[in-house]
Formats: sequence, C-alpha cells, structure tokens
Amino acid sequence: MTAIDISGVEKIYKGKVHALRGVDLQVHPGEVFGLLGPNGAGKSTLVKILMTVIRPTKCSGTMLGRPVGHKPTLRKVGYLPEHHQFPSYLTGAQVIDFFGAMSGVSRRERRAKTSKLLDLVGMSSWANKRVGGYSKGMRQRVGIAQTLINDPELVVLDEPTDGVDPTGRRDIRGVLDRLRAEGRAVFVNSHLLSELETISDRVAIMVQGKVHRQGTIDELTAGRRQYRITTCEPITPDTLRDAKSRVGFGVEQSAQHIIMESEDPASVQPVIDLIRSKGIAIEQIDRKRPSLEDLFMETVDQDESRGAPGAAQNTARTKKGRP
Amino acid sequence: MRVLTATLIDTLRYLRSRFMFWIVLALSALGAVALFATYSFTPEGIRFLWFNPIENEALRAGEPGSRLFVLGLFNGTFLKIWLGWGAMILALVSTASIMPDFLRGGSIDLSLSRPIRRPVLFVYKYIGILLFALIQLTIAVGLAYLIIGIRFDMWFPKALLAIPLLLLQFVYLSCIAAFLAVLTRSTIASLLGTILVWFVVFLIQFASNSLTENTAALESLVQTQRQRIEKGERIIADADQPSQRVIDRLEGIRAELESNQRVLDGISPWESKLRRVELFVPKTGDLQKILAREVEAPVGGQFFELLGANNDDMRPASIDDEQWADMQNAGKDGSKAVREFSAAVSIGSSLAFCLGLLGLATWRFSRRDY
Repeated sequence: MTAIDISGVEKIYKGKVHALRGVDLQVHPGEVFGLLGPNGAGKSTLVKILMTVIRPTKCSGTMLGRPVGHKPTLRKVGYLPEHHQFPSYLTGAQVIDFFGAMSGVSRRERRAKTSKLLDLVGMSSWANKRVGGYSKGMRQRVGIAQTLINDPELVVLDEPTDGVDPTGRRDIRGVLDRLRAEGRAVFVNSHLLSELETISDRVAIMVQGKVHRQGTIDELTAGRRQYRITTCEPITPDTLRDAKSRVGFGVEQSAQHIIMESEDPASVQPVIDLIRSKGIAIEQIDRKRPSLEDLFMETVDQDESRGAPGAAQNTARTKKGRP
Repeated sequence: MRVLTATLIDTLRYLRSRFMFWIVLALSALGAVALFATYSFTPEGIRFLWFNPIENEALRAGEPGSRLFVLGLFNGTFLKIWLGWGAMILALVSTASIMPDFLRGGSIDLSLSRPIRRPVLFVYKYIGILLFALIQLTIAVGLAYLIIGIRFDMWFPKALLAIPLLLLQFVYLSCIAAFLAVLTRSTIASLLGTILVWFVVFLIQFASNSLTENTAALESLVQTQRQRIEKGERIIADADQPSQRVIDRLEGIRAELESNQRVLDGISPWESKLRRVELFVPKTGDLQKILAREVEAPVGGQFFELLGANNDDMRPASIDDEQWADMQNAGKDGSKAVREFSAAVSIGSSLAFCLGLLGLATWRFSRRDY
C-alpha cells in the first residue's frame, strides 16, 4: 500500500490565488520523501491539505489507502507543522500526552511511551519543564516526539530542522533513519536542500504549485554525471582538440580542468592517456553529479524563464505570511 | 470521551496557569467571607465585627428579618453585583484568549490534524471554556452557602441554583465571545464585542423592564381611577345636592385619567415592540430575578424597607392619602409585572439564541482554511 498517492491536487484560495496547480506524487512505506521548493511554492498548502487543515479545491488520491481527508486515517499519521505552537503552559511530557490523547491513544499506552519518546529525542531531563521555557530546537525535538506517540505509519514533518542546531539536526536525522528502518513512510517538507539530500530516498521539486521533478536523486541526475580531470599546468588547445576527437562526446576546458560528461569510466581513460602522453601531470580526477541544489536552481530558473503565471501572486501571498 | 477528557484537562491546566483565575477565586472567597462572616445577629439587632450592635427590631436573632437580610445580601450583592457582573467580566477576560489562541496558526494545525471532526473539536473547546465559570461558581457559591449555613444556621438549598443559573449567564455571554473569536481570531475584538453586546442587551432589558413596569403601573392606576370615577358619579347621581368638593375631586381624577391614558397609549406599542426584540436576545438580567424568586429573597425596595427606610418620606405634599395609596398599589403592580415572567420562555429563548450563534460559529470554524 502506498503511503501517499495523490494526483491532480489543486487549491485556489479566495482572491483567485492559485496555490496548487495539479500536484501528483507518491510516497512509499519505508522511505524518506523530501518535498522541496522555494517560498510560496505551495509545499505547506499541500501538507495542510493532506492533514485536513485546508480543504482542497480538487484532489483525488489516497493516504494510507483511504481518500485524502478521511479523518480516522489520521489516527495512523504523525504531523509536525511548520511554526507550530504548543501550549506554553504544558510540560514536554504533557504535550506528548495531550496530543496522544487527541490522536486516540489510550492512557496506558501514552504513559508507557511518553518517556521513551522524550528519551529518543534527547529531552528526558526537560520532560517536566514547561514548553514556554524551551528553546526553538527543544520545541522541535518535543514536536517530533509527539508525532510518534500514535505509532504512525506515516510521519509528515514540515521544516523539522528549522531552528535546530547541528547536533540536533544530526539527532533528527538519526530519528528519521530509524523510522525508515521500521518501515514507516516519512514525508519531509523543507527548503534546506543539503538536509534533504542527506536524508531523502526520493525527492520532489515543487515550483509555483506544480511538482516539476520527482524521483530518487540518482534518477534525477541520471545522464548528468561528469568527470573532471585537474592538471598541474594549463592544457593547450591542441591537447583539448585531441581529447575531443578521442572520446567523441562533450569535453570542456576550464583553466586547468578538463570536464567530460559521461557515465562510463572507461570512456575517460583515453583522455587520461593523452594527457599523460603529453607529459602533463594529473593532480586529481573527480566523478561528479549535480547536487540537489543544482537541480533545484535549474528547475526554478527554467520555471522563471517560462514565466509561470501566478508567480507574482504566490510571492505576494508568502510575504503576507500565508501558505 | 478520551478527546473530551483531554480537552477538559488541557483547559484546566490552562486556567491554573492564568494569574487571573486565582485572583477571581481569591476575590470570590474574600467576598463571601466579607458578606457573611463579618456580622452576627444579637438579641438587640445586628453586630458588625466587634463593634456595638446596631439596634433594629427586624434584624434581631431569630426574627424573619435576619433571614431576609442574609438572603438580600446573598442575592443582591454577592450574586448580582459580584458574581453576576464583576466575576463575570473577569471570567470573560480570563477565557477570552482561549479560542483565539486555539485558532492561531501553528496551534490549530496541531488540533485539526487529529482524527476528530471539526464540529466536535469546536464544541469540546467551548465546553472547556465553560469549565472556568463552573469551577469559579461552584467554589464561590458553595463557600457562601457553607458560611451562611454554619454561622447563622440558615440553610438555603435553593441558593445552590445560583451555580447553574450563573453558569447559564456565562453561556449566554461566552457563546458571543466564541462566535466573534471564530470570525475575527482576535482576543480584543471578541472581548470588546461581547461586552458591547452585553451592554446593548442590558439596555434592551432595562428599557423593556422599565416600560413593562410603567405600563403595568399605569394600567393599574387607570383602572383604579376609572373605578373611582364610577364611584364618584354614583355619589353625585345619588345626592340631591352634591358637594363642590366631590365634583372638583371627580374632575381632578378625570384629568389625571386622561393624562395617564395618553401616556399609556404612547408607551404601550413600544412596550410590546421591545418585548418582541427582547425575545431574540440572551436575557442575562432575568437569571438573577429567577433566583430571587426561587429563594424568596427581598427584591429592590423590600430590602431597604427591612432596614427601616420609609416610602412615605418620598411622598409629595400635594398628594392626598388616597392618591398616594393608589400610586403605591400601582407601583407594586408594576414591580410584580416585571417579576412575573416565564422562566422557561426566558431561558428557552436565550438558549435558542446561544445555540444559533454557536451553530454559526461551528459552521464557520468547520468551513474555513487555516
């Protein structure tokens, strides 16, 4: 059963702001799925639709096998919203207990799990202190703990590492790894590209209310790998010309680098031989692929060059602090 | 049930964390002690603290007046002024932020993403708000009831009706606050709006009661004056030589009747119009009257009469005994008309208003995006 399988999700806010323009995506059990996009792309709107906080204008698909919006299904979903505000008068343990009860978890089960979850996120010593006195990072940790109180099959995290220090981020990554290992689906909404690249099995890039790319990072970068040979001295135009004729595919020169777009290491060998035969010392050979940031920027640039309608509207909406 | 329990416990924790909750509780306790534990009834009259007793026949220990005095303070001061106005405003202030905080971005997401239908969530939250009033009223009224019982050996079980009746008053007001909170998501707007509506309702009820009282008093007076005219005409008809004094008196009554009838004709349509308007608003003022009726507490002037005040002191010199008696009787009929209303209609129509408003608020809460 697919954790999330939606298609054609649209949301038009009052005032005709077209926040989502037909979103299709799938999230599978046992994977960490990263949704990324610039501010105003519609990421939070999509998450809120899945969590029934916002009503979609149009939506077909399922979450944990039931139609999106089916309330009882949320019993098996854990959710941490962006900019969440836990009641400041509750302690960390009470927050977990309260939201566990709201998710239908029995008192006995809540009692048994609360301390374990606080321990999992490194907040045991703060369990009985009021959330009002917590730092942002501590609130995030407790927030993640409360998403797990109902033993969810799907965990939806909106900007989970927002305001968290590097140690905290590492701990959260550890929690996500654990959830994945336990076979749960984790849906992470973030604009921190490096963060998502580290933890996600699959990602979707969303711009202006549409998913433009979706897949594993390997799938998204397929056919886009490069080999870069760095030499100790500049390469002459003759050497470059010879190299191009030997490999028969794109070779570019940049200062003391020769860059070749190829997936196959064997195809690079003739160029290495050529450089060595010319008596030029090779300092380094790198195999590179576009980073998530490269893919992201490329997608955003493509979208902007297409002049996607609604861009200005969505940006204006974001400035007002709305999703 | 699990969700309701969790919501109520959460509200209780919220209230406990609020300074105002403890302030209101302390003031209520202080009020109960000040009103019912600072004096005693002696064979001479009433004694405040350690001072010499104030001699008063009606307020001697064991006299019915002492019982009425305690009931008058309980109903007129403790319930009407403190719990009905002071504590009610403080309760509104204390709970005004519950709904807007609940609806705030980042907070509402956490609740809406649970397996609970939105209307249920809203109703549970509203019930949580009522918890404030319930706790405060139970402690304050219970304490006053116990102090009165233990100190004076006067037990008024019906006085405990103050708890549900004042809770009802809080329901009338908090439903307006909840509705405005859903519309505006602002604590200030919902609080000020509620107080404004309350003030308007107070004005409507005040005007309606005044008109009802005056209409009933005038109707009574007109009827008495008609009877006096008939009687005077019979006297004149039966007499061979009617005295000029009787004729003048009859003319005077006719002139008064005409004047009263004119006023009555002027205010009667307004009285019935205001009565109809009153039917559609929550009648906060009626609840204390219902309670006064139930515990048979002295109402208005009765309390001051008990302390020895004399209505005759207010009598103008130009009015003779008969006219003064007619006016007194008409006044009593007017007061009676205000007191005699149907509790079921008052509470039923007020609750209908609340249910309508809460229904609208629930609908709005359920339909909007957050």
